[in-house]
Amino acid sequence: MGAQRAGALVCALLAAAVMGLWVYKGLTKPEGFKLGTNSQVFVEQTAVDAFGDEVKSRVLVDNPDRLDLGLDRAGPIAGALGALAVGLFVWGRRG
Amino acid sequence: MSRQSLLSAALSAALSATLLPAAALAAPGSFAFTGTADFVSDAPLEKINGQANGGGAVTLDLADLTTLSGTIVMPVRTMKTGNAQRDDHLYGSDWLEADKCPDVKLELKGAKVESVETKGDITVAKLVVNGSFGLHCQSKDLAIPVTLKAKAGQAKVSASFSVSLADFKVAGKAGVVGEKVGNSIAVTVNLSGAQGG
Repeated sequence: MGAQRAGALVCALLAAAVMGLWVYKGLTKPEGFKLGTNSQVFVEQTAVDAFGDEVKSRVLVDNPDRLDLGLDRAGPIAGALGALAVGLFVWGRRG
Repeated sequence: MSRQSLLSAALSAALSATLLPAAALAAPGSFAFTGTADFVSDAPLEKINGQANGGGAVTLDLADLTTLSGTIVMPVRTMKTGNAQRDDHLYGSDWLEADKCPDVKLELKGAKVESVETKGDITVAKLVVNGSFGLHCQSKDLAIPVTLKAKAGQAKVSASFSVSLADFKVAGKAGVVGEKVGNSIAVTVNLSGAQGG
């Protein structure tokens, strides 16, 4: 297999991996599939208030999961890799 | 002063000290509340969680909770969903138009008391509060179930209700509402406050 075709295969696999990561996150995260990538996420905090009740509140913190992609990032990345794969494959066939 | 007079004066002072807080609590008072409104948009394509912050002054009379009144304001620009671009869209001309309609407002105009319980010095009341909910420069009357807890000049309230975007003429971009953004948004409000604010 020529270098171009090998490169095309790598790019295609990476594109599939990126979309696979998006699907995996959508299936395993409680909020499901995300169209937009959240740079911050809500975490629950528990505290005892003036009435002696344990109360839960939500606060926004920086998203610790760097692989938590929304389709707004996964799509263009996979698309670019896919286009590169096609380009390398066509180049490889012509060469 | 005789011993009897002294004893009488001391007894009166002690009685006043125990009765006065209860009297103060029962009298109508203005409470300054602050807190959060958590909202959830659950649409077929995406579930969006968000939160807004704000507060306001509420007049409460624990002896007559039906007279509850006040205004709670949450600026639109405090609404955060964890995605800065989505937040900017939310404030923009297709959605809540924060420049024209900067605040989400709840005006409280009385309540129907469902139940009141007193445990020690804590009063717990379940109410249905009548209010006018303002969003996107539109307003609609709502009856909101609320749980109120109060003691010694402190109070907290929690409430859950739904807001239909169509009622407030929030159309969004074509095809988004119903698919990416829920037609109806679930809201949970938690506020705490102190008297005299």
